[in-house]
Amino acid sequence: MIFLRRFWAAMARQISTILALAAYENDRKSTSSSVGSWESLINPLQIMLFFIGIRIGFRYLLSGGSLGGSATSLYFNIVIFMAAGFTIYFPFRQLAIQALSGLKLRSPLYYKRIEPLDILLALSINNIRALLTLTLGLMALIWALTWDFRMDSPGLALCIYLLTVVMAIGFGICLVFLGSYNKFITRLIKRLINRILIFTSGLFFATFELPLYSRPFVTWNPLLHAVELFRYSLNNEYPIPDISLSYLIWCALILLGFSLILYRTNESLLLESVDD
Amino acid sequence: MVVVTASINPVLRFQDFSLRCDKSNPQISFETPWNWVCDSRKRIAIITNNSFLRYQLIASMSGLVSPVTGQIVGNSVIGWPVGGDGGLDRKLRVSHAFSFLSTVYNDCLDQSLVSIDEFWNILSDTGIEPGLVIKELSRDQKDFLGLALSVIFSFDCYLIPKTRFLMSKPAKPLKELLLRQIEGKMLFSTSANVQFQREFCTDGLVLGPLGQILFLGPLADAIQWADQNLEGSNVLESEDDSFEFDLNLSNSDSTDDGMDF
Repeated sequence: MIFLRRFWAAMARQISTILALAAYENDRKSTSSSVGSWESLINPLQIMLFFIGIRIGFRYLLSGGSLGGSATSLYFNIVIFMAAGFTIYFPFRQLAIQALSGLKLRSPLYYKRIEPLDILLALSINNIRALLTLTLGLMALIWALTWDFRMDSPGLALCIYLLTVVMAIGFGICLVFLGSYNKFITRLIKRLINRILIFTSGLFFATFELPLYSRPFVTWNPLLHAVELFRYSLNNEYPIPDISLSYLIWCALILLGFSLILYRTNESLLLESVDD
Repeated sequence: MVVVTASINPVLRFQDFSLRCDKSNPQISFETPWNWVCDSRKRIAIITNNSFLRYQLIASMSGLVSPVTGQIVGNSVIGWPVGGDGGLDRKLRVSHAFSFLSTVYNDCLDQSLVSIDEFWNILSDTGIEPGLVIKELSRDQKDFLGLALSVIFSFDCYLIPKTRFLMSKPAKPLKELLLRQIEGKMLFSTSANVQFQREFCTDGLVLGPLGQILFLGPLADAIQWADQNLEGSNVLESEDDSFEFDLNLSNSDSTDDGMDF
C-alpha cells in the first residue's frame, strides 16, 4: 500500500513536471511571437489548409469542375476525409520531424529533476494538443455546415488516436538520437521521411481505391492502417481492405519498447557534457 | 521519475565518486575515489587550488556533468547552483519562470521559510515585476532574480559556486533570507571568499589537485590548515567565473520543421 501511494505520488509529480515543461515552451514562444500563444496553432493550420487546398484542387481539376465523383466521396465529405487523415498523420509527422532536429529545448536540463525524456514528452504534448484542437475544430465546422454528424465507433477512434500517439512518441525518441549527427544527413533523412510519410500514409487516398497489386507498396506503413481505421471509426461502411488493427497495435508497442530501450542505453548522448 | 523529495533528515553519500581534475586531459581523475557520507547540517566550504575541480564538483552535484566513476546517493534534494539562471530562457516572463520552478520543485516550496508574498515584495522593491520578460531586465536585476529564485526554495542541499553578487550590497535582503533557509541544511560552496565562508559554512574540506581529501573539519581549522599547507589557497574569486554552468543548454528557435515538405 505504501509502495502504491509512493508510486502514485511520483507519477503525479512526473506528470506535473511534464505539463510545466509544456507550459514553459508555450510561454517562451508566446513572448517572441506577434500572435502570442496562438503561434503553436497557426503553423500547423497553414500546412493543413495547404494540403486540403491541394487535394480539393486536384479533385476539382480531375472531375472537370465538380468536387464529387470520387469513390471516397461516397463515404465522406472531402474535408472530413482529409481532416481524418490529418488527425493521425500530423502528430506523427510533427513529432518525427521535430525529433530529427535533436533536443531543441535544452535549458530546462539545467535543473536536476528534468530529464531529456520529460522534454520530449512535453514537446509531444504541445504538438498533439495543438493539432487535436485544429482537427476537432475543422471537423466540427464541417459537421456544422453540412449538418451531417457521424461517428460510428468513438471507442475505436480514441484507441487509434492513442496508438498513433504512442507510435509517434516511440518513433520520435528513435529519431532524436540522429539529430546530433551530421546536419546534411539529418536533413536528407528528414526530407526522405517527409515524402515517404506523405505518399504512403493514405492522407490523399483510400486503400480501397488502389489497385490490388499496388497495395503492398503502402500497407507496410502502420500509419496508413491508423489513418484508414480512424476513417472507418467515423463511418463503419468505409471499406478497409488489407488494413489490420493488430498490425497497428504491434507496431506501436514494438516501436515504443524499442525506443525506450534505446533511450535508456543512450540517454547520455542527449546530455552532452557541458565541460568540454 | 522524481523519486527524491524534500526530506526531514537528509544525507548524501559519495560512492566510489571520482571527477575529472584537468580540463585539458579527460583521463586525469581522482587518485582515490571518494567514499564518505555527508550528514545533514554540514555546511562545507571546499578549499582547493584546482579551479576546474571546483567547477566539476558543483556541476556534477547539480547533475550537469556525469562523474567519471561512482555516484552520489541519498534522500536529499540538491538544488541548482545558487544564483544560477541557466535553466530559464531569456524569453520567459518572470511569472513564467516562477510558475515553472514552483511546479517542478513544489515540495521544496512547501517547506520554504520564505513566503511567496515576501518573494514578490522583494522583487518588486528592485523593480522586477511578474510581467517583465527576463531579457528586458538589467544585469543586476537578472542576478537578483536568479538569486531570489534560488532562495525561495528550501533544498536539502545548497550549492554555492559564486558569491560575488550574494555578498554585494544590493543582495543584502536575499542574503538574510538565504541564511534563514540554510539553517539545518547541507551546503557545499567552492567560493574562496573567506567572509562568505565564515558567515555561511560550518566545516571546511581541503582538497588536493587530484581530489585527495587533505583535511576535513571545522571551518576555522580548515582555513588555517590550507593557509599553512596549500600553496596559494587564497585564490581570487574571479577564478570562479572562468567556468560557466550553462554552456550547452541554449534553446534552438529554428522553424525549419514547419512548411518543409
